[in-house]
Order: sequence, then structure tokens, then C-alpha cells
Amino acid sequence: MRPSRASQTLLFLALCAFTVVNLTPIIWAFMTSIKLPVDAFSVPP
Amino acid sequence: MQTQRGLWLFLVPSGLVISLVLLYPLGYAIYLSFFNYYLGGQPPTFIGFGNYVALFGDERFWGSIGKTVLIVAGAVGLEFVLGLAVAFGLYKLTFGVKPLNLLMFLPHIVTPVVAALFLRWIFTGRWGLLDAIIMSFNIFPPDWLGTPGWARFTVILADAWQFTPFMILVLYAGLNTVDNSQIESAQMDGAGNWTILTKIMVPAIKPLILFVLAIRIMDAFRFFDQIYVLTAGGPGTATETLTMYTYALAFRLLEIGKASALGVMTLLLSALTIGLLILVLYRRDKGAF
Repeated sequence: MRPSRASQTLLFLALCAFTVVNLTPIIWAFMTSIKLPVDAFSVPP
Repeated sequence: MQTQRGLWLFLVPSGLVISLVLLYPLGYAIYLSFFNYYLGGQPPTFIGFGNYVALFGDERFWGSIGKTVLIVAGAVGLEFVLGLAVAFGLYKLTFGVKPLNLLMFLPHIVTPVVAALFLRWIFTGRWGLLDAIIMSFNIFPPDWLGTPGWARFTVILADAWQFTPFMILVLYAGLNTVDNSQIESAQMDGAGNWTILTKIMVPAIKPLILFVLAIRIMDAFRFFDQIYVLTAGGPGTATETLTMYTYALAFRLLEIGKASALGVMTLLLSALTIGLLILVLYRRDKGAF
């Protein structure tokens, strides 16, 4: 039974969203590492 | 037969290393647990099971057991449910699986202390990333690391963030070993994804599930580094697990004998939990439950 294209796209997008949420701390840490201290500690971040 | 007799000699180097780095410290900890031993104080005095009796009467010990069980059950449960759902999603996906799998695994290769530092920046009150996002919707966020309940929740999330990728990787590998003919015949009989997952795939990979749960439970019982960085066991003793309490006994209160007794009890508790898990997962097959 072949899965439909729409269901595959939805599944892919859901897994992409999970991956992005999962990688947020790493991405944010990397972005902080390339900021100047004054920007890194600005409120809101 | 004669050549096989000498093969045990090959075990000697690894046996020596294991004895030196595993058995000797364990034996020494068991030995010290029978002594009243304050670091830098009087010479150790033998008190038999005195440290164990003292721990049984210690309210902080029972509190740390409760918090350990809560944090281990919460973290491992969340990791398993999320890990199985994502692994099944990856199994069903027909494209882009390899890059997604690779990216998902990245949090697991970060050193736990560094991971905890990332997460502390995110959960820090008022100027952390999460608070900034929540406040942008005009919602007042809770104090993630400063309120007992939320601090426990944050610690569970931190462990889940780092170890769900491990669960995904192992369960995804396991799902791929399930006999495809069973799945196809179930699909022909009209079985949906939920039925296929729960009635065919999960029973087929039960030994692997037991392995991964046992590994994670044992690991979570000695959960220390992330809690130390995130909350240091606080606020108060809200996130003080058995390992945090062992650390406090040994290196703050310098009660080495009592800390050793607590270490031995943690080992026994962890072994008991794994034993129960094996019993529940395997004896149920034989109709015992």
C-alpha cells in the first residue's frame, strides 16, 4: 500500500518541526557565541 | 580442547582493568559504608549497619528517593513515548530520513554540562529565551528554575531533550528489523498505523525496548550533571535526587561513610527497578500477571 503524497509531506513537516525545536538550544547557543557581550545580554534576547 | 583451555588468559587484561576501575571502588564503597567516617575528622570507626539505619530514619533520604523516582519516571517515560512516536514517523517516511535522523541526534552528542548551560540560558527567568517568547504573547511566565514544581519539570525536560535522540535512534533501528510480511498482511486486513505499531511492531521489538528502558533508567538514576548546573538541587531540596544528596553528604557535609551507604542503596534501588521491569515485561507473556 503506497502512502499518499499529502500524508508524506505532512509527516515530513511534522518531523522537521520537531527537529527545529530540538535544535533550538544549539542554534541559540551558536548565535549567542557570535554576538558581542552587550548584544548577548540584551533584554529581550 | 587443549587450545581452548588457555583462552581464559585473554580475559586477564580486561579482567584486571574491570577489577581495578569497577570492582575495587565498589568494594571500597561497600566497606566504607560500615564506618562512621568524617573526612578530615577522627579515624573511621566501625558501626556495622549504623549508616543504613540512620538513612532509613532520615527524612531528606526519603524525599530524595521520591524526587528521583518522579524525575526518572517522568524523563524516561517522556523519552520513550516521544522516541517511539518519532521513530515510527521516521519509519513511515519515504524521503529525507537520513538528514533528519542525523540532525535529531545532535543534542545527544553535546556534553551534558554544556547542554545544561544552553538550557539554563533558555529557562532563566525574565531574560531567558523561553520567557522572552512567552512574554511576547503578553503571558506572564512561571519561574522555571525557582519554583519547586516547575524546577522538577524543567529538569525532566532537560533530560528528555538530551536523551530522546538516543531513544529515537535505537527504536528506529529496532522498527526496521520487524518482518515486513507481517505488516503487509495486517494492512491487507485493514489494520491502521496505531494497530500495526501497538499490536505488531512493539511486541516484536520488546527485547530492544527492555534494553533501551533499562539503559536509560540506570542512567537516569545517576542523573547529576544537568541538575547540578540547572538547579544545584534547588530551590531548597526540590530537585535533590539520590545522587545530589550523595554529593551533598560526601563533599559538603564530609560524611563519607553515610554517602557510601547511600551510594550502595542507590545501586540496589536501580537494580531492583530493572529487575521489576524485566519481571513485568517477560512474566506477563507467561500469564503470571
